[in-house]
Amino acid sequence: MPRTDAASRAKRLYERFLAPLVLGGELSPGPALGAEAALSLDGGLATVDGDLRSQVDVARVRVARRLVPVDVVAGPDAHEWALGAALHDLVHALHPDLQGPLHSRVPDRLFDLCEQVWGRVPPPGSLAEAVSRHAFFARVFEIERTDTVVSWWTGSKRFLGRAPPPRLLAWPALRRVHTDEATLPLSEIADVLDARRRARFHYGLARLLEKTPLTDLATCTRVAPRFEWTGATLGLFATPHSRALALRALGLGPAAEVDAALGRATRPHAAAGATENLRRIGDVLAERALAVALSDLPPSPQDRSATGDAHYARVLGAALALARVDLLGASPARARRVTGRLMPLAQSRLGRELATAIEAWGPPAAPVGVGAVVT
Amino acid sequence: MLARIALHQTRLETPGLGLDAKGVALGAKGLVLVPTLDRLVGWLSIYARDRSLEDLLPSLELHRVRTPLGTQEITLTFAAESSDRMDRVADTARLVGAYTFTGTSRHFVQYRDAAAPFGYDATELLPTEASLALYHDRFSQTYDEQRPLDLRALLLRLQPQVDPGSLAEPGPRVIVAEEGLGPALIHYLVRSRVDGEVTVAEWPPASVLDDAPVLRYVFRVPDLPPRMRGLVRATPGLTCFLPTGPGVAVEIGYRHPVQLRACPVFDAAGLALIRGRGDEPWTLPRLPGFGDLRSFARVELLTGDPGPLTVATASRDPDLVRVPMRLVPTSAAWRNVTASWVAEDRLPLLRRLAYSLAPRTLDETRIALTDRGAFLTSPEGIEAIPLGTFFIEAHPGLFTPAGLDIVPAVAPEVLKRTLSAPADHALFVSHTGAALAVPNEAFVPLGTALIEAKAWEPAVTVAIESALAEAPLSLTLTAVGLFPLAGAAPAPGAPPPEDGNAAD
Repeated sequence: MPRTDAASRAKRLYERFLAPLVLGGELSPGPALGAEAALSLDGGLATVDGDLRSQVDVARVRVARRLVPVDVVAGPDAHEWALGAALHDLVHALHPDLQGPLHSRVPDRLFDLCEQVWGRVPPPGSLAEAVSRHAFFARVFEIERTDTVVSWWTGSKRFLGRAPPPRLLAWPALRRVHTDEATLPLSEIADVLDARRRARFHYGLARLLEKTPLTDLATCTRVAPRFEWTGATLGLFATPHSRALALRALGLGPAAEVDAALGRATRPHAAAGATENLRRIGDVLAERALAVALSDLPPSPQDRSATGDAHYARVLGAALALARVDLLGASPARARRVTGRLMPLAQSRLGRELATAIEAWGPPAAPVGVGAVVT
Repeated sequence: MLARIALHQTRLETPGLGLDAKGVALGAKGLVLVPTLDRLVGWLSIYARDRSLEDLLPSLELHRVRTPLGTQEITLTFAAESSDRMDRVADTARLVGAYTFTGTSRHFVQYRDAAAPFGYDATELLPTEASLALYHDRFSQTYDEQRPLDLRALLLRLQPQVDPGSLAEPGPRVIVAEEGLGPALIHYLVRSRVDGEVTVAEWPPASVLDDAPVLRYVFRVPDLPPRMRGLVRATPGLTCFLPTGPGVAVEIGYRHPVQLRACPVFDAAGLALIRGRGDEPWTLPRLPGFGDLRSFARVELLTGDPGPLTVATASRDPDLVRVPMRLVPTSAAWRNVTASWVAEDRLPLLRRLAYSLAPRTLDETRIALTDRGAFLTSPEGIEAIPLGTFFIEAHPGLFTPAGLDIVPAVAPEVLKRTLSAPADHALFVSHTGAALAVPNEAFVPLGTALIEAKAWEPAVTVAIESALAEAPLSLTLTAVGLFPLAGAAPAPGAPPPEDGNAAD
């Protein structure tokens, strides 16, 4: 591919898709880029308007500072260009015009091209990379489309993701023009696809989230694709620093929904007896339970609004956290208060059942440190 | 000889000394021992500054007392009543170096102080026939009463102090005019339309060589115009007084050392006029009846035989007798010049003059800008702004040109009624006879009208929430074209598409 062609594609991708993805505004995907172009866009930042780059950099730092106090987030590297281009093609595949008989194979072809990109981009090799990728794709599930239905006295017409032409809105009183607008989230936009393609689309998003695990954790309450523990997300809890960032990313969402997502994602591992994974997951849940018990919020052991999955995650976390109270180094009175908060969950019926299962897992994972969420 | 009273002590040695509800030793009387007269005046001055002597006066007695060694001092006795009153008296006495005692008849012990919160008791009484025996922690002394002192006479004998601040004090005035000046002052006040009352008072002859009483005119003027204050103060033969309490007044320019309003010892039916410069006060035990000033205005009778009284036999429409109003020059002195009119072409001069005007002038002067120019008014006189045509306020809300008289010389209120000006308008009669009504609400302080405001622009404030808000991500779709996959090539080394065609 000629160098000038790559530069113009990078400029278009950045200005029409990646920058709005960070700053907000209108995303205009299309035309498709393809895998070859996606993997060759590195260095395309030089063609982008400097003012826009500055705005994007500031917005990315703002996203990153929700997790870690940094002042600079590096610009897109080759992998981020590739991920951004693949996401562009993935979203472009949702175009309603591509679902007709004329272009019936295009969505599948785009999914194939995206898959080629996913396979060539490794997971983040460092925390800085993880933060940088999250700073780009943190808002991916906030993409929405406004559909407008314009009806008039002789008919009506639907405009998907486009503004209706002014001629249709002219003389509203005389022609009895009525306009209905509906905003669809990304999960509903994908309904334009048939079931098989919709599954491929969600699979593509899941592959993207594998490449940016902080985004995966920060958006764990999403509708689709549902959160699942992956090697990338579990790997984040292996070291103290990444563990702190990962726990803060989990803390960005509503606590009850995050607990529900974690509980739902943990059950398959418990059913399969994946003890190594369970030890690592249990470490995360125990840390969250301790953070709640240590907080000054009033205790709410009878949270009747919690779903079964959330209750499962909390009970499992409380049962594991009880053994760690002594490691807190807190005063006896504070330790008694923390224990008092954890005990009702740990001694519930589910808690007693899980205690038996926990014994079968073997020795718990060495706690990396308590209070990472708070600090 | 003097012992501190302990808490819950009930037995006291001093006759007539008891304990009040707070446990403080208190007799029926309080006594203040003042070494000199000037300290007594100081005590009166300080005590009367914040509160009235009215509650003390019924029982207040002043005595000059003498020790066995011949030293003279002054005692001030009064009903003790409560420790609160005694505390106030003792605080004031401590300030002027006097001592406070309490007792009932002859033996008085030191009143309580910080060292003895419940007071003192005399453990050993002096065997004496003296009228007073005072027990203090520094001394015990007997006194014989010499003679009583009259508080009213004392206040009248006190020389007032020079106080220029009283010259500008508002309020009523009492003016005393020597016999020869009285009628002239009456006519001056009547001519100037100053309300007031006047009487003639008699004083005993000033010396034995005079055999007739001294007559003086006494004026009571509720509101003396400011412009006349200097006149009545500086004219020989006229003495102006500022009432300082019921039945008493102090000469303007002086201040009595004691707040006389707090000392109701003067009879409200009489009058005591305290003069400065060391002059004897003028007192009137009973005020003669006052008469309205206007009753003393000069009257003139028609000369010659007026003849039979002509009686109108019929009345006609008044329009037939109406004549146009004219303004004619007059040589009468200008008075009450409180307004001016500055023509439009002179306004630049007014703006230049504004830089040199005094703050008080800027504050008191009000201005109304009209299409005929600017109208300025100042109740204290408009002469401070030497610009434009001066006007006299002939009647509230009616201004006539200074130096011109309106003929026919109808009363100003009649003139205003004839001109039918609204009550909320100021009416200016120009030298041509034309009248211009300016709404009162159009007058604004000159200071605010003169300042030319600098241009400013609002600073745009941005709410922090909106600054940090993130715009929603809106997916906008464009046409995909005929070849949506044109240029979308697979990755190098990737297997080709199943149909072998990259572009659909």
